[in-house]
Amino acid sequence: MAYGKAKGSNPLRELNVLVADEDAFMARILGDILRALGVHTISVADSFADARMLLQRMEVGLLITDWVYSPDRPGGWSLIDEVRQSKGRPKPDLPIILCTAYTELPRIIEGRDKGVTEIIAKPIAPVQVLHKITSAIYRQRPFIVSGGFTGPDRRRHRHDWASLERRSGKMLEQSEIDAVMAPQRGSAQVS
Amino acid sequence: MSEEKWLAEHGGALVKMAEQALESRLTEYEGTLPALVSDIKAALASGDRKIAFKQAYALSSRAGTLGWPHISLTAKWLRQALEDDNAAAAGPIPTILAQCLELMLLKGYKGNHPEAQKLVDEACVMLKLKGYALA
Repeated sequence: MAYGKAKGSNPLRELNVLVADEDAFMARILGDILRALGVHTISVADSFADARMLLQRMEVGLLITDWVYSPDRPGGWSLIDEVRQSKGRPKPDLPIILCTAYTELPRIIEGRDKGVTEIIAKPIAPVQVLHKITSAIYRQRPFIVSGGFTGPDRRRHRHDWASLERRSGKMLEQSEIDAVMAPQRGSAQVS
Repeated sequence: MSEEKWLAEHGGALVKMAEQALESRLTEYEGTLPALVSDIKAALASGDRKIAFKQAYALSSRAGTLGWPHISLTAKWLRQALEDDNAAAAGPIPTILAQCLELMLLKGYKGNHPEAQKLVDEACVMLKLKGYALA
């Protein structure tokens, strides 16, 4: 991806972001934050159908989404599944940031295993938005398509799973979410 | 200069601008909370758990973004009480929590208001007595 055509300019200017959230309030807030961070092209969808249409029609460089589900497909088919299982447009390796208030450990693991690139806990903090965009776009992990998993490499730092397990069912803090999501240093390149 | 380096260097100023943008929006959005509580109450009264759940989720995240932790937490408990696994045992709890939320907003218990804390504590006791594991 080519960013910052003019040397020394904000690379986020070149980014085309789709925000998908069924709560229009949250989508607008995210839009405001992105605009202030310098993103010029922001599209907003408040339903699965709108988001899917925009993803198919536009060249989106980053999807920021809450858990947005298809009303037509049973079994919790989300926008994340729609992207990761896509055979054409959108590209399945599109960076996805899940922005959610469901921060219980099983939901975070579900997001990771569905192939999200990063997770932001609501309420949204602008600093987290910038950190996660930077990580999702400029520190991309190898993209894996294998054995029922499609998404960025899930290999992790060693961390205290026991303490996280004890918190199963409880809401996780952003730092704990990051521990679940953080890639292992020096992971091998996988094509 | 790499993109990442540029953002590391200028990110602080960008975040400050984003925080200002967020701040200026928040006052506008405060006014949307009572309508959400009304929607929840109406949905509960008509037995539409799905709408009540959706609006409780929205209320929880909006209140959190506004920096109103007690309303956010109470709305989250309401959302949890409406989840499929808990619905049968919830009884009157969702309605009580919705009334609790309405009271907090009517009284203008913003931010860390001590009266809101009292209401949350009472709701917490009630939920614990019902056997809820509170997050």
